[in-house]
Amino acid sequence: MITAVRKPLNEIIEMVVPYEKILVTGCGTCVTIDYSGGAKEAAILASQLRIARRLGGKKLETLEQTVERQCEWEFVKEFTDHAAECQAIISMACGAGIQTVAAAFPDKPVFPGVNTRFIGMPQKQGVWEERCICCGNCVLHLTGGLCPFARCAKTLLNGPCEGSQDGKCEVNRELDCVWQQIYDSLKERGRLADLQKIFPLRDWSTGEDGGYRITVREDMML
Amino acid sequence: MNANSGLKKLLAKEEFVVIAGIGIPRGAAFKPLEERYKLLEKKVNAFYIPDNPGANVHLLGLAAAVHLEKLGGETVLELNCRDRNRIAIQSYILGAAALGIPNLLFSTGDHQTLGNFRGAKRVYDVDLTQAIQVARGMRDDKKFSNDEEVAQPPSIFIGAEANPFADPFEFRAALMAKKVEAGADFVQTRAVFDLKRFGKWIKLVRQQEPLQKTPILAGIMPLVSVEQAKSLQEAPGMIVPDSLIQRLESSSKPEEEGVKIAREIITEVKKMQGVRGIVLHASGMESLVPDLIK
Repeated sequence: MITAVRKPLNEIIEMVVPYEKILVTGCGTCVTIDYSGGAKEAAILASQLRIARRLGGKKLETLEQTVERQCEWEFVKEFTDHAAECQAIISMACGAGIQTVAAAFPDKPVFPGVNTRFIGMPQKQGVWEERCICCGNCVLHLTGGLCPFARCAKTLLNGPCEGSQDGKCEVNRELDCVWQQIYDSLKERGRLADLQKIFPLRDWSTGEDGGYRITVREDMML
Repeated sequence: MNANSGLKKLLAKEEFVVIAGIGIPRGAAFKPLEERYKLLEKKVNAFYIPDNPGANVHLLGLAAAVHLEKLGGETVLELNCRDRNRIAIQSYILGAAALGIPNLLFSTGDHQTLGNFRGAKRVYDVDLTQAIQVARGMRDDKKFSNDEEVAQPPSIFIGAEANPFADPFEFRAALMAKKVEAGADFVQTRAVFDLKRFGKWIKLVRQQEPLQKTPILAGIMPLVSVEQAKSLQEAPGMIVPDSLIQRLESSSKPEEEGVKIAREIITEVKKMQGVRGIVLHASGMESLVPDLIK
């Protein structure tokens, strides 16, 4: 899933200072599951903004609406009526959703209500971990099912750096060294010989380094 | 101009080599470098020029190396994978060789968040093994990493950083074999404090067929105070045994004790098979070097 965290309240308060009526929009998919930008979080944010405004002696009206996915035109269209009533929109979707809303309502200022963090998974209740950097050229079958790009701070492909110690990353002792994990995983599978192979230079242009990416599927076009 | 490596010749002659790391200034002047150089002039075989160590900005290593070469000191110039992509690495190799820098030491580079520029964007386009492979390809196959021809191949002696004190320990010798297979002519280690661990690593290295002839230069760092030793103990990839810290604590002159410890370590590593020299990690402590290598 795409994970996000709510932006600090004061930052959002500052963004919407000029407006008296705003639409706070939630997204019903990833950010609902990670408790950062679903219907409940949209309601909480709207309420916090109203209280803050009232404490400052001024008035703020809010509308709230959550759709299934803010990253699709069909769903964001559902905001049309509420958007027409408001001066500005806060989107609590991931960056893809926020941009879809901004493009769908070009006459309204659209503000991000969350900071999008990464593609990851809930490791346990309340803890999400990054798993994928969308490199566009997956190697997980070679690395024991552990991604050296998402989980190694130096995106190394030929083994650990010189700072890996006691299974921990040099960047932060709270982080596991994925190369220790890859080593353990391949050892368990009797595949340590795989690590002796030198992986050649990577073509990073399949990822974010190749410019912004568009997937075209002619077989799916209408 | 492509220089011939004096280091390569000394290693071929089976001579024990002494390289001194030199502190690189953090300003736009060579004077502090010259002062440090004078303390070490003619006392060591070569100077190791670290590349923005600790992920902090220092004067460009290439500039420092050129200056030392002009003064008469042979240099081993570090080139990390943190600050440069494959375009910059290959351009740097050509530039260094053309300027007469004979030895390049490839490293991964301390992560940028460990230094004072935490917000810097990472590079790590190529990893250490790949960087060595690229350098070897430019020199021996006259090819850039994209297979285009190198007009004038760089004559460089290629070194690789290795750390016997990092984990997974059982993989460290095999990892070194990868670097040598990629093209490393010699290996330089992080500072040795834990002789037992270093000895175990050497044993594993000796078991790796491709490493039988690879010269290993052991890193040596003087401990000068209890505080410094304790902070090294906390640093990623370092092992400083408690017994050494106790020796410093119980000494009235910890710096002298530290030099004594370093000399003991030098004596021990010298006996180990494959260890063909030492690299003194003594940036900012250059005045201790003459005592260390007496």
